[in-house]
Amino acid sequence: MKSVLVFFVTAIIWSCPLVSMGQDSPFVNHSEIGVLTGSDNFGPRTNFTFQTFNGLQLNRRHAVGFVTGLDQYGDYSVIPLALGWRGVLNPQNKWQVYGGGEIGYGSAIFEHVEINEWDQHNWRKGGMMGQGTIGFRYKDKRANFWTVSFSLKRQISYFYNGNPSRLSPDLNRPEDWSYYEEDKVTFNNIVYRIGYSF
Amino acid sequence: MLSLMMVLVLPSCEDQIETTYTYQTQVPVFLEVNSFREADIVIEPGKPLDQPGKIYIYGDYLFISEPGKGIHLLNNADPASPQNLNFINIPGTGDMAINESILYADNYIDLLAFDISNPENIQLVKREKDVFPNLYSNEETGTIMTYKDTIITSTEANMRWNTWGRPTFRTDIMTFESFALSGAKSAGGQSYGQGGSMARFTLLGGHLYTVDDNSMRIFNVENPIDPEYLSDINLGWGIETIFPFKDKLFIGSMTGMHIYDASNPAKPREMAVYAHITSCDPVVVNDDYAFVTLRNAAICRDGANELHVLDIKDLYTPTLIKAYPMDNPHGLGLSGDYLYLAEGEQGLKSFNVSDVMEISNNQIEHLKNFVSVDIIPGPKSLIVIGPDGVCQFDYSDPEKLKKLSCINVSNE
Repeated sequence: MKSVLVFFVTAIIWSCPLVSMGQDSPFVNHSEIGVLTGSDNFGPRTNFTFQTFNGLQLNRRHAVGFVTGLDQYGDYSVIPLALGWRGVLNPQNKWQVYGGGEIGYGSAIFEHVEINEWDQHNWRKGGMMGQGTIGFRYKDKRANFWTVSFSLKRQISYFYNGNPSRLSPDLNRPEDWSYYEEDKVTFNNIVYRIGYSF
Repeated sequence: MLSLMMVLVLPSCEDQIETTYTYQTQVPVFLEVNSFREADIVIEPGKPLDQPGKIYIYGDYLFISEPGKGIHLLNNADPASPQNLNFINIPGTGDMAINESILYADNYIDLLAFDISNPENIQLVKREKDVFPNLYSNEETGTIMTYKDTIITSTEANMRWNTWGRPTFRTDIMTFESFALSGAKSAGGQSYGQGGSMARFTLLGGHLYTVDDNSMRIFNVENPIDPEYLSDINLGWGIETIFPFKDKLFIGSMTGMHIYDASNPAKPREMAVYAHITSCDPVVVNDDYAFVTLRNAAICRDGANELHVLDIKDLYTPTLIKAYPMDNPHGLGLSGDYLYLAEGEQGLKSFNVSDVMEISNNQIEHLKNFVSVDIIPGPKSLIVIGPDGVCQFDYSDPEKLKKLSCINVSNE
């Protein structure tokens, strides 16, 4: 958990609006905070998300870049690492409509193996991630934007549970386990975010 | 844009889970005894180790058993570079013992004797039949039941581990345990029930003692090439290890350590039982003390992880004099004043045990980065056995072990 927190705080500070410059440079940052909603077999699900897009403005309308952040599904932390795109419909207005898309990988790099008193091992791995966004943005005095968006996001993860048949089992070798369960979990989310872009 | 989003998510707004369950277990297979009695014993060129069992040092040679499959023969004239010579195929073998130049191994229900006076040209000299009859499922038709490793994969929901109504596999009984039923001299392998009689063999006073789950069988081997079955003694349950010392037999079980007087080797007599809380316990012994390790693992039930030192100057009343907490002790090896303890995933520890009341304060080395299950102090090297392989250390300076070589288990 601690390493997740350090990463998260660094990302927040980096994308803080006070650090922003004007609209002249081609560099674009778009950072958002929001809520992932979905439902699983226990009922409706509400989780926290933070996302930051860092890239280059290609022309008046489009920017591409690299996206990262944090999705917190209960006690499961996913760090998305993706390529992203932002495109504006009406860049000439004050109130603008934009679209966004990301495709990449959600990493469970901060997760570790849990072992219970029966020597059962539990661990998690990340998987592919894809997202599509529609949003509104409002141009402020400094020509930066406040944004509100709505997205659909799909995140795949793999949860493992195993009973080893030897000491020091290798997590990737099935022959070290007498029982090996792989759950391929697909999180389907409707996401609401507010953010800032400069 | 919107259509892209639809494709991504709308198929189902609920989270989805697809689960695959994989079990590695053993399924019963039936064999006719003639199928292996009439077949020749095949000796092939050296194969990589898979799940090493017991190791026997015979002169310059190492015999390493591969439970269920056979015995590896290695030339260990130079412990820094052991040569893997041959693999003797003995299906259904659990253990072995060497008496003078005769190697005894079990072959399902039979006991085999091999002449190994020339280890590079081993000959089968005797087959003693029907000595381990508990494998028979039907003695009249000559059918035995043994087990075969199988992988079962399913995506059915009722195949989940803790689901009521799931078919029960043999490994469920042995599971929750990294090392099912492993003991001091026969560890390293994962499945002792893999065919074979689950016997542990030992030799003392011209007799061969084989111990399985709950009884001890005695053979007269005063004529080494003609083992003669004498009798068997019921020992209770959960028998794991047998350690001969002078004319006594120390038998480790899940509930305690039994001491037998084998001064009349054909009729060992029970002298005492040192009972302890249920744990798995290998034992080594010198003139005055017995060192017993207790290990907590689910199949050993609520055990502690400890080294117990027992005073055995009076064998009729073994007394616990001190217990030391340890990490996860498995097998142990004693050489003079030095005790080498295999601590499973925590590696290997060495202690000076000249003062048995101060063992933990006299810990000498703790070698980590090596998973060890058993230790044999040999004449040329200290042999350490683990699931990753068999390593040899120079212990001419017992306080400073120097690694000589490792025979790694194949990773296929």
